[in-house]
Amino acid sequence: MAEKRKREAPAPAPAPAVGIDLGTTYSCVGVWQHGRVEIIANDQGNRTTPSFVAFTNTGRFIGDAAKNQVDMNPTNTVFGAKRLIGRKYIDPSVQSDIKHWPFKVIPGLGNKPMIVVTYKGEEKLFATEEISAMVLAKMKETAEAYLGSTVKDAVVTVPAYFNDSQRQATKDAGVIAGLNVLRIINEPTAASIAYGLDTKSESTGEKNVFIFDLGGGTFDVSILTIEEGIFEVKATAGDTHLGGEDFDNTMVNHFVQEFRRKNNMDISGNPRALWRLKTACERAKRILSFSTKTEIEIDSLFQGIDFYSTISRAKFEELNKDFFTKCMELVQKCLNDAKMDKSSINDVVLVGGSTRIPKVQQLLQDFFPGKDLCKSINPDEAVAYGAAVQAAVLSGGGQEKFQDFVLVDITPLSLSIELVGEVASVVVPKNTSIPTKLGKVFVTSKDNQTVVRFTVFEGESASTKDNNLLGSFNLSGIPPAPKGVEMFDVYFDIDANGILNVSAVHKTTGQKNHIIITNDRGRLSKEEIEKMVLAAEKYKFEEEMYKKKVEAKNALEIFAYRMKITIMNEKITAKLPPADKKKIENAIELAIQWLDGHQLVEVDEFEDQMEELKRICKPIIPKSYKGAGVINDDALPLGRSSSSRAAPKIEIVD
Amino acid sequence: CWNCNAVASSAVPFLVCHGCRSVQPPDPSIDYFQILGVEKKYDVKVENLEGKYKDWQKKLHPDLVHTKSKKERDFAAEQSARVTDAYRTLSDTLSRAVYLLKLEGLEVDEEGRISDPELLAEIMEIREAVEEA
Repeated sequence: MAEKRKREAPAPAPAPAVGIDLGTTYSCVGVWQHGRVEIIANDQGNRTTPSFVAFTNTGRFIGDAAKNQVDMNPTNTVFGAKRLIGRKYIDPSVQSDIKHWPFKVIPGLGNKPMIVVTYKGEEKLFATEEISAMVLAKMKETAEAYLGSTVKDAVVTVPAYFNDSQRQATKDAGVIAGLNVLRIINEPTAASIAYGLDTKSESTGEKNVFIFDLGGGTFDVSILTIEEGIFEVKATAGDTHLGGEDFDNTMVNHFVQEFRRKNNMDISGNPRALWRLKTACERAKRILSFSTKTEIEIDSLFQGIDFYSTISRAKFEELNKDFFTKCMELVQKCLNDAKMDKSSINDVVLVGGSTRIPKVQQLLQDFFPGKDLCKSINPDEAVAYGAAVQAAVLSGGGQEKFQDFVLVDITPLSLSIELVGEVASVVVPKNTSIPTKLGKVFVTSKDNQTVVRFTVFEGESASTKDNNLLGSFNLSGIPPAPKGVEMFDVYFDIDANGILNVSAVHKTTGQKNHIIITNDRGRLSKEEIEKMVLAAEKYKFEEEMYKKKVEAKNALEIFAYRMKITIMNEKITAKLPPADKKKIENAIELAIQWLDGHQLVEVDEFEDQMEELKRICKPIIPKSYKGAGVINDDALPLGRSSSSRAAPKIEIVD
Repeated sequence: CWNCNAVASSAVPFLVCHGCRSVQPPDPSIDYFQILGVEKKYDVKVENLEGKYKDWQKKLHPDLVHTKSKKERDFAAEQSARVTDAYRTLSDTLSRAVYLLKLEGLEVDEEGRISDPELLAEIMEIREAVEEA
């Protein structure tokens, strides 16, 4: 009997691809595992992580640790990088944001906004991509800690209304963070996946779904039809600069004026005061989602003056009414673009933390009378959930579960070729399904023209100067002829990744040329990215070293104090010669003194101290003492016996 | 089929292999009417198109072959784009008419100008007649 061929040893299972929602204020990571999506909690136990990065004299902090110390370190704590990414310093929205931020932003090369911070006593400049990369790296680590393996592949989400520069810059941030970005997908589309899979069992036939995604910094609306696993985006609209942060800012402005009126003092130049006021406003905003009135109370806000005020829900709504109106205008615009009447919408899905605002819900409810607003999916996690599903689909990790799952997305902005006089001639209209290949015929604009320049733009304006330049290329060797005679077929090819390839063919000679749009202008060069990857690794290494130092220091400290308690225990020291006892006591005292004088020296030094102390204390070290930090209460009866044990849980039984 | 050598059945356009599910190279001789399974004529029931279009996307979309060979991914990208264009073209009355004429060998240049003075004069007279009526 022939022996069965031995199966090849299976390669170690690679970590699954993850889905990351890189938000303006919070980020979230999820992974498809065991037939469902797991939203992964960070080291603080939180399922969303603040998109904050802080720089201090001792190190760098990302996430909760960064957000928790803004009070003490406002000028070196960076947040809201998503509002800068892929934009120019001179962009009016960048200029207005900078006014509200306690950290410094300056124009860099090519007018790229650069963030200035003091890190370990040195002034450092960071590109927006680097800050976003730090947040992405934190999400990557969070996933790695949970999965127990290195994560390489990820799907990262962006607002549907992000333009090409913003998308490319987000992709670059992924590379700097050491990720292979499988795909950049649109946030409302991702959320619709969460909704679609959630309601799969109960749905029959085609459903038109309206996604209303109002987050911390951006606003998107999308209309999709969902039918038996096929998700087709029909239209999308949005504002990449509208969200919870703006609502906080109008409140801050309101109270800055109130403070001025009451005290005749301007706090707007004081970052710490502004941050404390902003934090209070954010809290007030949240309270106003379930209460009609709340207080703002800040001790010693500015020059020792306490600030106390109240704000009602009505006032909050009044302050932000322009924003809310804008939201509803975009809702209508999206319906118009989809050529749909609001009555044909089956479900309205709320996504993003700001959809908790009662006024927003009320306006939507009034707009879609008789429709229940769908809140069954978690507004903070839905986007990461959908990204995780798409990551599984693209990496083939979901297998048969996704056999019938297809997502057909669209281009949010029109793509055009520039004609004479800065006129945009649209080739791919907005809301075109991708992948797509569309063509148009162009002719020469001058007599005897031998070279033709094709310049590609993105945006809705009829004039190219208000649109976003994507790139250009020439076609030469055209035989001289009167204008309008020589014709060119121009094709726009967009693949499922959203990458645009524009090609032009001269009809009579067959001469051709093309460009793959990578949006190099204003984008980081390959060399710059490589440098940043190295820098990111260096920061990570430094951070790990810092963490190790802290751990080594804590270990020594815990051990020394443990021994101090032990040596006082007569049961243990009874058999010890007094000279030895004295020697041990001295060693402990010396170690404690040494610790006071050496806060953060090299790990080796802490370890040497530890070895020395352990050697001297050996006679009194209980056998069950496995190592510093691991405390066994039975062996050390004098220890604070409750310290390492969880307090008894009291549960109220129904 | 380039992958498993299966032979196409004549019942449906051979965009995807019915045997191994691999996406086939685009075949320009298959027109949009054939792809969407409707008779080649102007009078098309638009509501029948969407289902067919979606069926194709479930088989052809590039995401489905994301982990497969570059060759097949390219096929999927082109086929999927073609199916989308077929659906878009046949759904709209004007583009459907233009496409039908193109299949019959008649290119319609929507942006072209007519400069034959006799024809222009004739059209003007007809228009005036319409207005006066």
